[in-house]
Amino acid sequence: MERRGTLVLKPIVELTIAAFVIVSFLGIAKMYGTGEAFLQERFAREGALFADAFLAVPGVGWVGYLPDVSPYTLQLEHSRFRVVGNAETAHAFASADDVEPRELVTPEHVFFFHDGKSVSIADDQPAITPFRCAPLELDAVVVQARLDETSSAIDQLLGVRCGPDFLCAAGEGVRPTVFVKVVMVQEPGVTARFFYDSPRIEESRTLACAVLRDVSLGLGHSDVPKRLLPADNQQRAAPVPVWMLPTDDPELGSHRDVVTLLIEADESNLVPVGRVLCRLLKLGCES
Amino acid sequence: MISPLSLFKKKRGSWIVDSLPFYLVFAIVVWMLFLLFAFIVNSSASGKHAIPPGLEEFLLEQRFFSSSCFGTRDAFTDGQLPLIGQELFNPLQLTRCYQASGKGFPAYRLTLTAGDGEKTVLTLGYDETRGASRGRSSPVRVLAGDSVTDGTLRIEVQHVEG
Repeated sequence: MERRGTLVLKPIVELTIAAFVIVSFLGIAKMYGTGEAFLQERFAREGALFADAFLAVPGVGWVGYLPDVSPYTLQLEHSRFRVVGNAETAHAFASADDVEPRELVTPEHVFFFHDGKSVSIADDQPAITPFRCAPLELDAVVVQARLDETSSAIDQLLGVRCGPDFLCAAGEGVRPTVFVKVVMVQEPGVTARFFYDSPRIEESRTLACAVLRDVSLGLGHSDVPKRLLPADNQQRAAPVPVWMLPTDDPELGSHRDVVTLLIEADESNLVPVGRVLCRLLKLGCES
Repeated sequence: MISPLSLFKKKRGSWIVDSLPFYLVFAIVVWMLFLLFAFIVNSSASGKHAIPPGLEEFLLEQRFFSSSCFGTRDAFTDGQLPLIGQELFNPLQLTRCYQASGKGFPAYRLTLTAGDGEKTVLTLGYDETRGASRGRSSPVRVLAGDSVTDGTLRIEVQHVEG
């Protein structure tokens, strides 16, 4: 004979266990039957792989991941890419300090990017330019330029008055505020060097950065589009090899109290460099 | 002495299916079946979306040339060899750019050679008493101060159990 209460408890326990089993198996069946589990697994793996790939990108870039991920919340964690839907799937990647964790709640698409500072995800196309330069703020520019004797084409472009020693000046004022040295080299490409032991190093570096950015965007070339961002076609805009490096050039060192820049360019890039310099230094030669 | 089987028998010798021990065994068996089912289906899902062999390892090795690691931030290397900053090539920078110890990711031994100098850094988990499972050398350019010289970066891989 059963004790009082056992008759009530028994069916409750049985029904609870049965409900648990049925619901669990139905849930799994639904996830795998609709392919949702496979999709989540795929998104998690590919997301982790994208994070790995963007940590290996030598410069900057982005890629749109176009499958419909709107049913899910995507989490880029420090060392995992997590997809949260009806279930949760995560895949690990080898992390780095550059990873910026971010969560996207039911985004339509996801964009992976490396903006030169961090690797992260966004729900919209990130605005990325090949060179991230600080804003260039140069007022009342008086340029003194030392031009290589073979690069005389640039003096007309800059509108500078040159002496017999190829030392030239442009702008209104007595004391120069910017010293630019331009040298023609055989190796294709443009190198912008800044004098590193100077109180004006940040401005010098920013000017070098801005020159290379504009040259690599093709802004100094008349035969290419004025604005062609690498992000528009997933590749670099200009095939011009550009370099930004420090220098201890003594001539720049003798002007260490002003903004200094040493440009080394091959013949085909001298005029584009001149145009870019002219525009950045506001020397009035936009044409 | 009471036999364990007696727990499952009613007093008159028939099996009972509504005793507490039965529920415990039933719950354990169901839970194990549940886990087995989930494991089998999950393995099937993983197999369908397996990463091509070697791809992840290739990407991890490329990281050492990037600006996240030893590659310099300010130089583009279009059509040229990767540019490695000699100042950046140190254990601290490696720790910043490769944090994968104990997760089943490979461990690396990296040797940068430029001119007469040679420098080696190791990731966490690399065991120097064991040999590397694979190694390759890549030509690079090395930025030291304001001069750029030719060099090589040797990457040796050791697989670590997760």
